[in-house]
Amino acid sequence: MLFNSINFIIFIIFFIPLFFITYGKTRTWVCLISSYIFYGCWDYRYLLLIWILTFVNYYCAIKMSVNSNMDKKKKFLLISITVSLLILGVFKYYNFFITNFNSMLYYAGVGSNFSTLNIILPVGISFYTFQAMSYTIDVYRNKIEPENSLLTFATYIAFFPQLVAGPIIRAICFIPQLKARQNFNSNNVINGIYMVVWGYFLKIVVADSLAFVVDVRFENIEIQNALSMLIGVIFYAFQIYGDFAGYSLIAIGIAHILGFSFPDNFDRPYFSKNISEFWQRWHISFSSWLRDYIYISLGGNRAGKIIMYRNILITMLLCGLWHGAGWNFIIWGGINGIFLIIHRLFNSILSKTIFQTLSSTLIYNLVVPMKILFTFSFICIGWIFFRSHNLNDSIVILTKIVQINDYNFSSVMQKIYILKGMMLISFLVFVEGMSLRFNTKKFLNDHLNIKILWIAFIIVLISLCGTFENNAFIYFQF
Amino acid sequence: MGLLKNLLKLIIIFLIIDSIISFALLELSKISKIRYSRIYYEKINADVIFIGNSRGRNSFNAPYFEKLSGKKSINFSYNALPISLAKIFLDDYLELNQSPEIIFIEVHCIAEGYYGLLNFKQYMLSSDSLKKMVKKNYPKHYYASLISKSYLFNSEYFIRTLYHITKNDQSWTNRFRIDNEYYNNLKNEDVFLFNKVDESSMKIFIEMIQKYKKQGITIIPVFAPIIDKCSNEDNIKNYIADFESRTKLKILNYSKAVNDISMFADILHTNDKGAVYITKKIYDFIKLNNPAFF
Repeated sequence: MLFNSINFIIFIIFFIPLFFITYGKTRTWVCLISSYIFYGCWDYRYLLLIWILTFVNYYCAIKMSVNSNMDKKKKFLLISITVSLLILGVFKYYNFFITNFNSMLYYAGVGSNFSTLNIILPVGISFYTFQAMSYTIDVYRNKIEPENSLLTFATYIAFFPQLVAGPIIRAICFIPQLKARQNFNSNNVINGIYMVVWGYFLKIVVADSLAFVVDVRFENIEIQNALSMLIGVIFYAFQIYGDFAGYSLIAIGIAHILGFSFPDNFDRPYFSKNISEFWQRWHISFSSWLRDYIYISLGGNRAGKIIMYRNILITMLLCGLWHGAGWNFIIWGGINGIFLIIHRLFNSILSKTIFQTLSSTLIYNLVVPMKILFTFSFICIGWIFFRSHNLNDSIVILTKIVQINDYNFSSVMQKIYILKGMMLISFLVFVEGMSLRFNTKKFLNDHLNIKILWIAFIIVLISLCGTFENNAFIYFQF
Repeated sequence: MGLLKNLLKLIIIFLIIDSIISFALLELSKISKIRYSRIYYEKINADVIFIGNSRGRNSFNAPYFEKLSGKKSINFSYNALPISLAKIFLDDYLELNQSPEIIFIEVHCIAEGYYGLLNFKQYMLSSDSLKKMVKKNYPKHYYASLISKSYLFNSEYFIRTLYHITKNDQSWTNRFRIDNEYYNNLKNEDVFLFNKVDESSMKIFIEMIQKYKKQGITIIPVFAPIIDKCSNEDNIKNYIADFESRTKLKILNYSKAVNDISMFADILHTNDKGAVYITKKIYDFIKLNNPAFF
């Protein structure tokens, strides 16, 4: 069920009143059954995967808590992680690895050919497996107590707003809220509506309008000139942001209406002044997951600089692989890892020398926008690999973009849509820039009537500029 | 109660903002020089009308015809315009303006479908026929436009409407020119076959012929050029024979009129240069066969 479909609107109209007229266990049952209906509407057979993950992680966590022996605890942790990764591996990565393995055998002159599986990727599998894994690891690390109620735990895993595309919510954040009684609060509802509406704006207006221009360019690379391709890349940067941040906001907003408080998943990432900051503002729930469960587990920055750089690279390569079973995603992760390493290498030198020297001059005022622009450019280079179908396409695009003599607007296609896209991006940048400069979030929270006026204005904008074609969210495929 | 009060406030403010914005956009639509806005918000009183789908848009150059003939001319063609929509625009035009002497219609718009109908929903405010058609074929969109008037202006066509606020759109033809490489790469599978006009579209067209004849309008069907390597002579001959026998109208057949590939934007569409060439041919034809017109 897509958030931007009529079916979902009907679903939520029934769900919200049902949620508030029930309480205690009945309410949790309402959440759980509704979440299974939500997921089952896409393909009910894959509910089995969610159930397996739920039971295994629930059981292993309980077993870990009753065993004080570290070896036994580790055994149950390994069981739960193996099952989670096995599910992910079979459904998401099996065909990728088999195809590559077959290619290797082919080049080695060995004739055997392992067959691939004819399966579809279960929606949101990367999100709910990682959410389940974070719970078991936290129990193992004694960060949280295991949840005794299977009902509560199952609801934590399957809660529909964040089930298929995050944010990846930690058990320590959500389970206590599930157990507490969430009372109806009109402020929560208005704040939730505000988030949902802005989320829809990001998806239906920004992402889907830009998608039309982006798709034409990435599907017909050879006939684009340099400017046209550059427009495609920049638009894609905002498309994926609108798409994913939009989904997250809708999810967080729906949870907020119900009285649950989820942390932000995006914090105006394109205003980042360096790549490190970008990864602290982009897909925050996932970045922090990688930091806490991979980067730190590998040793983080405790074992010297070289090991730290290795850890960054491994973490980012896995980040890429998480996004998709394809080399383009792994390369994207690798590129971001290299950018992060370069930033760590030169940041201290640059901050101590150049920026400190400039800090008292007028030029310093230009340094921040320049840093933002540079960071955005590097991010865009990564997006080229992320969006392209293969490595060859990515290289063709990069080669095209650097051809300065090929920047000719008259032969660029879809001028009308480009104009619309530029207006939308400008509006988005303006709104986010204002919120960063003047903390408009706090201002709107203090002035309810202005917030209502803003919500109404955004709804009119959705009506005026929205694309109502039930376009799927990009991150569903992950 | 607090929530209900706030939700009510939200609805009222939404309706006010929606009305203000849609009013402003309607005013912009009224002053726009784009073709269909001129039907509803301007007295055109043209002597000659051209209409068709993208083949009509790229084959007729109304300003050039006006320059040659001294007769006020306008092109109402639009990409993928089906006959049902063409009829609505022409009927509405005739209600608001004096009848033209000639309507040239590029025959490939005589086809089924409501493709693009939602593109023109901004004119639902001025055309009852369009409103009925949207209601019948796209009820969800119709009711959405009742809730939010701004939704009427949510279309690619409206962005064009803004683009043409001060700029006349009558010279809007394709500027691309195919080259020898493109032409040489055309293969047998690129041959384009024209389907005979379906029953329901033909019915609409015949109704138009009968109605417009009564108003003293001459309807001249035109077959726009197609690149020689992609045309099938028998297919075109059969199409024309079928069309003429059903409508009793003679087609101006320009399917093979253009041999210079620099006049094509692609296999099915001439470009600005081709449009001037075809328009001149149409002018010469009228001059020869109906000198009284001038």
